[in-house]
Amino acid sequence: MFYNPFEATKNDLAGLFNEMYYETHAPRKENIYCKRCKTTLLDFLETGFVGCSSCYQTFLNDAKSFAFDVHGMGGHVGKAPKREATKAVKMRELENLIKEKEKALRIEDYDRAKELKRLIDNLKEELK
Amino acid sequence: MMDVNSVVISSRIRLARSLKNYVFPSCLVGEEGYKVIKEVADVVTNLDGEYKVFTMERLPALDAEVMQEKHLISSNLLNNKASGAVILSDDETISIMVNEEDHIRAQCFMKGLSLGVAYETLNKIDDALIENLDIAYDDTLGFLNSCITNVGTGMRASVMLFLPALTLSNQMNSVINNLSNQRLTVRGVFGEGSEAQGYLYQVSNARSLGVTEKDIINKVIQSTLKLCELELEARKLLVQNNDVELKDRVFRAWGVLTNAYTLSADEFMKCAGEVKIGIALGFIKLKDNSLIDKLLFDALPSSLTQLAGQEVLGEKEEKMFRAKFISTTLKSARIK
Repeated sequence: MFYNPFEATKNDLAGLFNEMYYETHAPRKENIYCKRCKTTLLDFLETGFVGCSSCYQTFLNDAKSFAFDVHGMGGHVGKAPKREATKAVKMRELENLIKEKEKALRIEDYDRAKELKRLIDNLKEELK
Repeated sequence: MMDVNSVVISSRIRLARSLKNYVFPSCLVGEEGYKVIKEVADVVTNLDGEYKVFTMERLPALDAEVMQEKHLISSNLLNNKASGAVILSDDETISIMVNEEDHIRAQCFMKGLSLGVAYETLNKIDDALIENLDIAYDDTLGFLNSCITNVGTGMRASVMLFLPALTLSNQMNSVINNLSNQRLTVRGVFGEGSEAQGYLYQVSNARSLGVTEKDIINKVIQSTLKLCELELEARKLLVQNNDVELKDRVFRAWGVLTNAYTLSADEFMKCAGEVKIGIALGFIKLKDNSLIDKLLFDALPSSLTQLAGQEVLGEKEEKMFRAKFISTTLKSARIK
């Protein structure tokens, strides 16, 4: 892949800025804990264990980085519960419809955009 | 054709699942543990086939230890008297541990290299559990479990392998390194690392996220077949270069197993490994070659105590009973 030093520098700077922002604005890791089971983020990062499924929501970003460190990059691609699989398919369908609607608006096909909006609203209702 | 069965003893698939509505087993208190057992047992006992539910609280200590020796339950579950339970199929090929490290640890055991069949069997039970229970799941992290090492598919596919020639030719350390580079874990079935007793090793996947169940099974199968090839090649070389020493080793061990007056579990395991080499290479013929694999588990302390029809066996009595049991069984099974 082509290596662009300017792009890399830009990314490094963005990373540094994010880190500085996180350090000054985000809650300190010591203070983050799961309200349901009281497991702290530090406990989780030290042991790899959580106390309940809600911990994964509370520590979501850290849990994802930790999981990718342990297993390698890449989210779940295995079996999914049927209701979750249906939800995931509908989410993808929603994304496609939104893109299609944007395209219809760009080419000023307002009838198509109106029809797509109706489909999007229906799908959003189903996903609630 | 490659004789895979002289290397691969058994296959096991394990799926870890957790319930959304309960805190994980390490945090469960009071009646919650029983509620989890009831929810899981209600689903499993309504499936086709016969299943029995045993709570650790009520299971007699010896029965629990025998289950642990047979790898049907873990020591972690055995020690969870407060809320641990196991649901076993009649033929003991399916074991579902409840409130072990995770709410559900479902396992399927099969003889030989049968990971695909084991998964198919367990997957049907898993479908029923997912359909009927509120299982914790996230689109990116997959099935959510107590430990980050078990998210994603929550699956471990493992095979138990008999690798005497690779061990005797000092190749196990490089095999273990090679497999760990491929994110596979190797450990002794009885004992650790390259010093595994009875030359028995367990190989399993380390990665459970970012891969499909099929990927995991294929990877373990491919690596197992490669290990079989290496082991069989190493056996050929051993016979070519050390035929006399090898036969001496096998028949000395046979002599101990069929003549000793007392036999410790350790000594039995060591000798059984040597005799198994003799069976694999055709020096010793038994009516049923898998008998020695069964004995490996039957001769463990608690299983042996149960076989003797006793509640407890003293150390000396245990060694004497083991020696007699092994000697009688092997002598009557041998084809001259």
